[in-house]
Amino acid sequence: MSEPQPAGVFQPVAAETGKPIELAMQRLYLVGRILGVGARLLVKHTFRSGEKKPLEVIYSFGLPRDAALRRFRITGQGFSVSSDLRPVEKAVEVYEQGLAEGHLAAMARTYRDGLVNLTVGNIRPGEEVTVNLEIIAGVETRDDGLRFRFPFTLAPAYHSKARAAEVAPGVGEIELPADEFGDLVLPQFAADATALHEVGFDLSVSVGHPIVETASPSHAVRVVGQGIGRSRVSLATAKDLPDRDLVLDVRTGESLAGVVGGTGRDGRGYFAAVVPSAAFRNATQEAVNEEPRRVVFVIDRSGSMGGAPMEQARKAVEACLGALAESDRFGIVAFDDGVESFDKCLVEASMENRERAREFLGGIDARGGTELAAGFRAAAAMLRGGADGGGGGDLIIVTDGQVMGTERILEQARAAGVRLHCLGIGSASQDRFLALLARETGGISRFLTTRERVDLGAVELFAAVGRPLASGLEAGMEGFQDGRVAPEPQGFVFDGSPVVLFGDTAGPGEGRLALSFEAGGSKRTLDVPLAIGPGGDGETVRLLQGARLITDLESRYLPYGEAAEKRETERIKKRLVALGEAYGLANREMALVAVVERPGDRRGDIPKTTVVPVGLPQDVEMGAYFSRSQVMHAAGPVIASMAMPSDARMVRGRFTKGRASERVLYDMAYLTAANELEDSDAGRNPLIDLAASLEPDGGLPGSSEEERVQATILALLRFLAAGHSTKIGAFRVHVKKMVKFLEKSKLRPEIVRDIVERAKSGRALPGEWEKKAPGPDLWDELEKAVRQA
Amino acid sequence: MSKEWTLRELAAETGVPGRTIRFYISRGLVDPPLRAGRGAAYGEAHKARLEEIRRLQAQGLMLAEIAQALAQERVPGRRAGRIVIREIPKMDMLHEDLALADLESHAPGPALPEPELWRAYPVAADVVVLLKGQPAPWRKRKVFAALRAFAAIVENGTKKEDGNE
Repeated sequence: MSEPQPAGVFQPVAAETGKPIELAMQRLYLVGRILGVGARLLVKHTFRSGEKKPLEVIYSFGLPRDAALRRFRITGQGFSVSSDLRPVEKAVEVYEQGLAEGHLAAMARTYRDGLVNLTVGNIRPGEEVTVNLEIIAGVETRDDGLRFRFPFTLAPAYHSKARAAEVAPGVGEIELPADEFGDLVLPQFAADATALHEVGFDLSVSVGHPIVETASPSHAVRVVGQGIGRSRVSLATAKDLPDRDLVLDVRTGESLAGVVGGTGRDGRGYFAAVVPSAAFRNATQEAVNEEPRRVVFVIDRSGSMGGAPMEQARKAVEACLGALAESDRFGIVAFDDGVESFDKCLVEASMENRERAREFLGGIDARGGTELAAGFRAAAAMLRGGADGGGGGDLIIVTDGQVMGTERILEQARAAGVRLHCLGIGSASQDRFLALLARETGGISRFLTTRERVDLGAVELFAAVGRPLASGLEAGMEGFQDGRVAPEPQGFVFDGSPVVLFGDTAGPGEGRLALSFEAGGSKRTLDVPLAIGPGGDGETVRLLQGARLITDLESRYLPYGEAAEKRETERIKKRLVALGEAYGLANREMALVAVVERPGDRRGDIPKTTVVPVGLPQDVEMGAYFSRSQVMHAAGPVIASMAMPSDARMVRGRFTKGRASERVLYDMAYLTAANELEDSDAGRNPLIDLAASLEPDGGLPGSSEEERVQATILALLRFLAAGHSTKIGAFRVHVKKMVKFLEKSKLRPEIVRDIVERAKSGRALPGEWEKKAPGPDLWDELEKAVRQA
Repeated sequence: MSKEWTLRELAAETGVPGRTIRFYISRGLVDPPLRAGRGAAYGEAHKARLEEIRRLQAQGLMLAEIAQALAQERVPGRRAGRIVIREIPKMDMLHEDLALADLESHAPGPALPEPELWRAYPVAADVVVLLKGQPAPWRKRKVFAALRAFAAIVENGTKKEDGNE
C-alpha cells in the first residue's frame, strides 16, 4: 500500500550550492546520577556554526517525567557564563536585548506538554559553543527497581489543530497553533537520522540496594558495577542516533524500600521515602478481596499504533479477559478520531461475551488520529451506566500517547472520575504525559518500548490493577516541626508499584511518617521511621520535590478558556512563579537566560535562525503523520536536490495518522521477563494464548471433566516453569484462577493437591509438559514426576 | 518618510516574537532588514508581510506553503508559466494558490477566466475527493465528518477485497 522508505534521503544541502550544510548542533551527551526516586542530569549540547554570518540555533526537546530545568552554563573559547532564572517575559527581553547588542545569548524556555526550546543566538562563524543544561527528572519506580527514560528525540504527535506535512522526501514538519503554543518551534523530523547530530551517555546509578541487573531495551550499554547499589552505565558504541529514547532498567534484588534525605540549600530538611506495595499487602494480611472486577480496556487504534503494537494490544486484551471470573464485568472501547465500543455497557465475562469480544478485537485495525479524551470518556460512561447499576472500576488504556495539548486531556480525565491505568508503547517518550494521566486519576502507568512485549506488559499491569491493595491513602508527619508531605500521595496502592513520598521539615530531626489507608474493609495505619540528618542528599531531594510539584501544577495550567478558567490560570501562573523562585527551577512561567558580552560584538546584525532536526522515532513511519504517497508523486525534478523547506515543493496531507502497515517488525523481546523468552516462537508467546483460553471457572476447555482438569494442570505447569505462581509473575491472577478450579475438582486429589501447593509456592515440576496432552497416560506421568521431585 | 522600526519594535507592533521574525527571515518568508549592521530597520512592507503570514496561517497554511506562494508572488513574470501549466491541471497542489490572482493581474494578453480553488483529500491510495474553495467552519465540520465515514468505508473495502484474493 505504501512505498518503502527511501534510505538516506535526508542530507541537508544548501539550495543555492547543493553543498552539504554543516549541522548547527553536533552532539548531545547525557551525564548524571540516577537515584531510586529521581535523577539529576546534565545534558551537554555542542553547537558549531558553519555559517558566514552569526547563527541562532533552536533545539527542541521534550522533558522526561516529573522534570524541570535547573540551570545551564554556556561555554566557549575564553568564556563560561551561568544562566539566570527569570520570569518568561523578562527572560525573552534579556535574550532579545543581548542579541540586538550583538552579544552571544542563550535561553531555555518550557512550553506546554513539557516541550522545551533551547535557543542559542549569535554564535560566530566557525565558533563552537557548549551549553550544559541541568535537568531534574523523575523515574518510574517499581517494587523491585526502576525504569529511567530520557528523550533523545521527539515523537510527532497528534493535535486537532496542528498542521503537518512532508516538506521534502523523508522530512516532516509540524506547526502548532500560536494561540495555544505561543512561539514554540518544533524540530523537523527526519526519516533517516544518520546525517543528524550524534548522541551518547554516561550515567551513574545509585539506589542504596544491591543491584541485580542494569539493562537497556533501547541501547547497547556497558555496565560497570561500582560497589553495592552502585553502577555506571554508558553507551557501548562510540555514538548513536537521535531516533529513540534512552531506556534503562535497574533491578534490585530486594525491594527498593527506604528513605533518602538531608538538608537542602535553604537549611530545611527534605526526604523521599519509598514504601513498597508489599508493605500494604502484609498489613492487609492477604485479605481476600472477592469483589467483582470492573474493567474497561481502552485501545488506541490511531495510525501510529499500526503493525505489531496493535496486534499485541489485541492479544493482550484477550489474555486479560482470561483472568476474569464470570461475575466480573468488562468493556472494550477503541478510539482514533472516533470511538467504537464493544457494547453499550459492561458485560459479564462469560465465554460467550469473550468470544464476541474476540471478534470485535479482530475487526480493529490502526487508522486515524488520537482523540484520547473521547476514548476514556466513552469508557467512563460505560463504567457508570449499565444493568448492574454502575459503580467504580478501572480503565486500562493501551496507547502510544502521541498527542499534544495534553493539559486539556488531563482536565477531562480528572473530570471523568475514574482510575486510568496507562500502558504506553513507543520508542520515543510520551512518558511524562502518561505518568501524569495515571497519577492524576489514581492509576499506575507503564511505558514499554516497541522492542518489548506489549501483551506481557498488559497482563502484568492488569494483574496489579484489578483490585487495589489499599485505598484512601493519606500521609502525615509526626515528630517534626513544620513537617509536610508534598505532593499529596495518590489515594490507591497497587501490587508492584511502591508509594513514593516527598516531604520537607523545618530542619534535621527524627520522627516518623504516618500512613493511614483502607484495606480489606477496615482502616489501617503504617509507620515509617524517618531520620533526617544534615547535608546528605537533601538538596537533590529538594530539587526532585520541586520538579514534581511544578509538573503537577503545570498539568493544570490551561492557556485559555472561560472567565472562571482565566482566574484559575492566573492563580496557577502566580504559584508557578513562586515555586520557580523557591526551588530555583524553570517552568512555563520562569525561563533560564544568559548573555555573554565579548569584545568585537557587533550591534544590529541579525543572525540566521535554524532549527535542529531530530530523527523520526524508529517505530514511527513517516506516513503515519505526514502525507507520503502524494509527496513521492510530487517529488519530481523540482525537489530532487532540495532539502531546504523554503524551496521544496510541498503537498498538504490529511492530518490523520495513516495506516502503518509496512512498519518494521522488531524482533520482539520482553526484556525484563527473560523467562518468557524461552517459550517464544517467532514473537508469539504461548502463555498469552493459554491465558486467553481460560474459561470463567478457571479451567481450560475440554470435552469432559477429566480432560479439563488435565489440560488445566498442564497449563498450570507451563506457567510455573516460566516463573509465574499465585504470588509473583505477570500471570499470577491467571494462576490463582486455575488453582481455584483445581481445588474444586475431586479427581486424583493427591496429585492435584501437590500441584496446587507448587502453584502457591512457585516450585516448578520438572518435565517437558508443553509437549504433553490430556489422555489416559497423563495421570501416571504426573504421579511419577510428583513422586520423583 | 515612512515608518521604521527596530526588530524589537516590530515585534511589539505586530505581536510576532523577535525570534519568530528572525526565523521567518531565515526561511525567506520575510525580507531581511532595510540596512545591514547598526542601522538595521524594518518598514511597513515587513509589517504587512508579517500580517499576511498570520492571515495565511489562520487559513491553515503551513510556513512551507506560504513560502512557496510568496516566492511565486515575488517574481511573477519568471515563474508564471511554470506554475500554471505544471500544477493546476494535475491538481496535486493542494494549497490555495494565492499567487494565481496576483499573476493574473501582471500577465500580459487576454484575461483568463477567474480561477477556482479546490482542496484535494486523498482518502485512500486510489481515491481523491475534491472540495471547492474554503468552506465555512460549520460546513467544513459536516463535510469532514462525511469524508471520514467515506474514507473508512473505502479503506475497509480495499482491505476486504485484498483478503479475498
